[in-house]
Amino acid sequence: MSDPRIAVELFGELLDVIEALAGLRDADRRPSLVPVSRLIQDLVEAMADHRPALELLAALRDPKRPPSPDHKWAAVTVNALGLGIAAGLRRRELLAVGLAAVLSRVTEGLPPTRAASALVELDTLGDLAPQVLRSVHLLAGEGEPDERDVVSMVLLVAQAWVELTEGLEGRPSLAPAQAMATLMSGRLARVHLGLARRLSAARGAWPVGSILRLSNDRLCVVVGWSEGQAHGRPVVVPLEPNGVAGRPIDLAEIGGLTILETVPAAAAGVDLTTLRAPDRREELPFALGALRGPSISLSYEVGGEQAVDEDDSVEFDLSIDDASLELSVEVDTLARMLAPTLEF
Amino acid sequence: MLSSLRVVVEEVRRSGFGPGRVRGLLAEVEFDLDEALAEGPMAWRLDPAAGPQGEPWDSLLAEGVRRVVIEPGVERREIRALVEVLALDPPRGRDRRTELWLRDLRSVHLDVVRKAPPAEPGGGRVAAARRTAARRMLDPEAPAAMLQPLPEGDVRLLAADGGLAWLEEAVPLPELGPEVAGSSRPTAAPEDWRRFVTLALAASSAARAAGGSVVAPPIVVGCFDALLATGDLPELTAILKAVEDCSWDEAPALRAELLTPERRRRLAELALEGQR
Repeated sequence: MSDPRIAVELFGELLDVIEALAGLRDADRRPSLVPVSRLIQDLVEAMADHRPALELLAALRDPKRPPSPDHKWAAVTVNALGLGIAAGLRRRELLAVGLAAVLSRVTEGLPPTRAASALVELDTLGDLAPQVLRSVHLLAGEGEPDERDVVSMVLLVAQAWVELTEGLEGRPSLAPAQAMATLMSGRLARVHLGLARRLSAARGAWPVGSILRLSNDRLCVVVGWSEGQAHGRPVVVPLEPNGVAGRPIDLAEIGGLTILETVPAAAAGVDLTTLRAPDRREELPFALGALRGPSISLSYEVGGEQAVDEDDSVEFDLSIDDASLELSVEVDTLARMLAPTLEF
Repeated sequence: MLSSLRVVVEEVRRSGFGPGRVRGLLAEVEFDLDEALAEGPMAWRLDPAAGPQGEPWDSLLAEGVRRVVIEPGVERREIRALVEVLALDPPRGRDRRTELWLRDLRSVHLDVVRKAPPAEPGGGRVAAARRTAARRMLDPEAPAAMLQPLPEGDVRLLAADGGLAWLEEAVPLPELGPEVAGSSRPTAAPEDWRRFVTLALAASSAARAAGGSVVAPPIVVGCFDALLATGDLPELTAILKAVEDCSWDEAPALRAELLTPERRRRLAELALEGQR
C-alpha cells in the first residue's frame, strides 16, 4: 500500500492547478492542458489506494471562513471521479469528467457565450471538447441535462453533493448523511437518482469526513472502514478537546459505542484542518513510497530540498486562496488518521 | 525482444504501418511474445542518465515515464496499440503517457516519477513554490517548463510491492441500472480469473517477503466466487491448489475462507455433476 501523503500532494496540486487556471482566465495566452490531464490520470489511479484520503481532503474546510471556489471545484473533481469510477466510466469519460470539473472554475461567473468561447479557444481539449463544453455548460446551471450524457450526470450529482455539504450559495451546510438523504429524495431536478444511489452505495451510511456524535458524547470524524466493512460501522478518529486527533477506533469491533447522530462540521464548531497528531515524534507508518494504480505506478520524489521537518513530519500547505484562505494539513496526522483504512 | 520492439517503433515512426517490412517486423515481435513473457513481465527501462536517445524516448522520459512493463497475457491488439502510441505523435493537447492511459491496456503498465517542487528556503512549507510550478507548467509558451522537473540519475524504480489494485478493475461491477445507458465497465472473461489469482498470490508473496501489505485474499475470494457461479471445477481446483502451495502465514486462513460449508456444498455439487 502506498503512502497516503501522495493523496495529499495530489489534492494540493489539484487546488494549485485550479487556482492557476482561474488566474489565467483573462490572460492573452491559453494554458496547456497536458499537465492537467496528467494530474487527472494520477487522481484516477490514486483512487484505487487512496479514495478515503482524497474524499477526506475534499470534505475538509475551515468552518471559520467561507468555502472558496477553488476548493469547491477540487472537491467536485474528486467526488465526480470517485463516482465515475464506481459507475464504471471508461478512462476517456473520466478524463472528460476531470477536465470539465477543473475548467468549470475557469468559466465560473462568465455569461454562457463567453464561457463557451473561452473553452473553444482551448484547442488542446481535442476530441473531448464537445463533451467538456456540454458538461461545463450544465454545471453552470444552463441547459437541460440528458440522461444519456453519463459524464454530465455524474458531474451534476457530485456538484450537488459538494454544494449540499459545503453549504454554498447561502444555504446551511448539511451533514453528509442529511446531504445524501436530500440527494436521494428526488427533489433535486438535475440529480440523477440512479447515480445518487450509486454514490450512496459507494460512500456508505457514514461517508468519510462525517462528524459523528457517539453515545459517550464524544465527537469523532469518519476516516474509512476496516476491510469488508464498507457498509457497516466506520473507523473513526476521536476529536480531543485540545485539537488533537485521538487514536483511531474501529466501531465495527467495539460494540459498546452507539452512533447517536451526524452533525455538520460548522454546527459542531469542529475545524479538522487544524487537527494535530497525538505524538509527532512517532515515526510515520509509511515510508515515502509509490502510488500503484491500475495502470500507472507513480513514485513520488520529495527532492533534495525536501519539506521534511526535523521531527520527521511533513507539513503541506494546501493553499486555497492567496488572499483569503489557507488550509493547512499536517500530513503525518492525516497519515495516522488514515492508517486503519489502508491495511488489508 | 524489447530491442525488436524498439526497432518496430522506430520503423513505424519513419514509414508508418503500411510497408511490408514493418508488417513483417511486427508479426515477428508478436510471434515471439508469448515465449519471451513465459518467465514473467518484461520491463522496458528508460534511463534519464543515458543522455538523449531520440524520439519518442526523450519525450517519454520528459513525461516522467521510467519503465514500460509488458505483462504476460498481453494481447496482440495491446502490442499494436503500444507501438502506435509510441510511434505516432500524440494529438495536440495530449502526451504519450495520456494516450497510452486512455487506451485502457490491461497488460501494459507504466512506472512514472514525479518530483516535489523545492521547499521555500528555511521552511517546510511548499505551497508557494508549488503554486509557481503549477502556473509555470500551464504556460504554453514554455514547453520545456510545461513538463514536470525530473530527477536525474538515481531514479527509484518500483519493486513488485503487492499493489494489485489494478486487478480490481477486472472484477465485474454490478450492472448499472438501465436508466444510465452505455456506462457498464467491460468485465473479465472467466478464463482470466485463474491468471488473476496466480498473479495475486505471487505478488502477495513478494509483498510479504518485503514486509508489505497483502491485498490478495479479497481478490482470491472474489475470483473463487465468480468461478463457483460459472461452475468451472478445474479452475476452482487449481485455485485451491495454488493457495495450498502458497507459503505465507495467512494461506491456511484463506483456504478456510474458500472452503466454508456453503462453498464446500457447491463444490461437491459441481463434482457430482462432473461425475455424471
